[in-house]
Amino acid sequence: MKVLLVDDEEDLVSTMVERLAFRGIEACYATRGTRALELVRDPEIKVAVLDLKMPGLSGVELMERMKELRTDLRFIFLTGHGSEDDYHTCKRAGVNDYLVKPVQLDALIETIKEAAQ
Amino acid sequence: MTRSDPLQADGPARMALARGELRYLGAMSAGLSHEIRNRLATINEKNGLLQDLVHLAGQGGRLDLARLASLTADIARLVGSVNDSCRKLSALAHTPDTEQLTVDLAQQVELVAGLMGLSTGQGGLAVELAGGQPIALESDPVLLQYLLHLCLRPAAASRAEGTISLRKADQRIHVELQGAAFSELEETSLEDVLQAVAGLGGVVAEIAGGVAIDLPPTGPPRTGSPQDEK
Repeated sequence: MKVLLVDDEEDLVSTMVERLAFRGIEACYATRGTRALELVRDPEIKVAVLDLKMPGLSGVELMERMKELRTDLRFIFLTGHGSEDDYHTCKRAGVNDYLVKPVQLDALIETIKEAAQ
Repeated sequence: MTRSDPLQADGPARMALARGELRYLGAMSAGLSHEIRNRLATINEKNGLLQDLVHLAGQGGRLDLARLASLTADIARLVGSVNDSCRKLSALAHTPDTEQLTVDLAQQVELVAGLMGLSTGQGGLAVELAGGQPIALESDPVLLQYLLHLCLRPAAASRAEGTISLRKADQRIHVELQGAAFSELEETSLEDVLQAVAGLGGVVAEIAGGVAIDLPPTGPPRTGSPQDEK
């Protein structure tokens, strides 16, 4: 299983990718929606972890575009806002899970595994 | 720039203005909170990576001292960034403490732009002062910042370049917004700006030596300014 992380904070996602690799989880990242749409064509990717608010395509818009390419993909949202509005936006959009930054990596891994099942 | 307390005044216009100000303070606080959470998340991951590397070294792996030094430098930089955000949040929280204050208009523009994540340096928004002289304004800081926030919203959405020119003429202060950053002004913010500045003339007419928002040449005709309403 491979995981795609999408967040405009490169420092954050690149570090997460490295830490996930230490735990045997292959991951890649994108800091822009356009790049994420290229990467998601890789059939090995089973779960996408998306930032909710990014410049350009928002997390929800990106998820909708990804769904057009991959119907089997599961989605987890990671947000720095954590507002009620964000929660309801994710619920309405049918997101599999929703976590608020900062998140402990073990909790994220658990959520990724649950989503992938 | 002064006002009577909109919360105590009658009339929906005053209540709308008060609600707008609260929304402004809320939006800026939420933005700073988001910024802080993002930095904390990165600090959390960098710290976690440090722990991972030390753990691997304990199991016989090679300890890359240069890598450790780089990670600790990153963490120190991020802590500084969180501290900046906390300072901004504190300044914002104390903005309503004083109803009237002598403020430097250019500094207020830069403050609001900074709170909105807009750069006022190269490649972002340029703030120009006619004559190069600071413009001091006796102002209700929340009201002034709210109006500036409404003006800067299209720039925050487009991230394009633009110029904010500030000048004082005939006892009035003009804020001119020009460039691609403000090309959406008439569609997105203009209505709000006019409501706040002109439509709410009952409130804004009380502004002494008020701020006139000079709209871009392509915008609709000016329907009023604080002074015009009088």
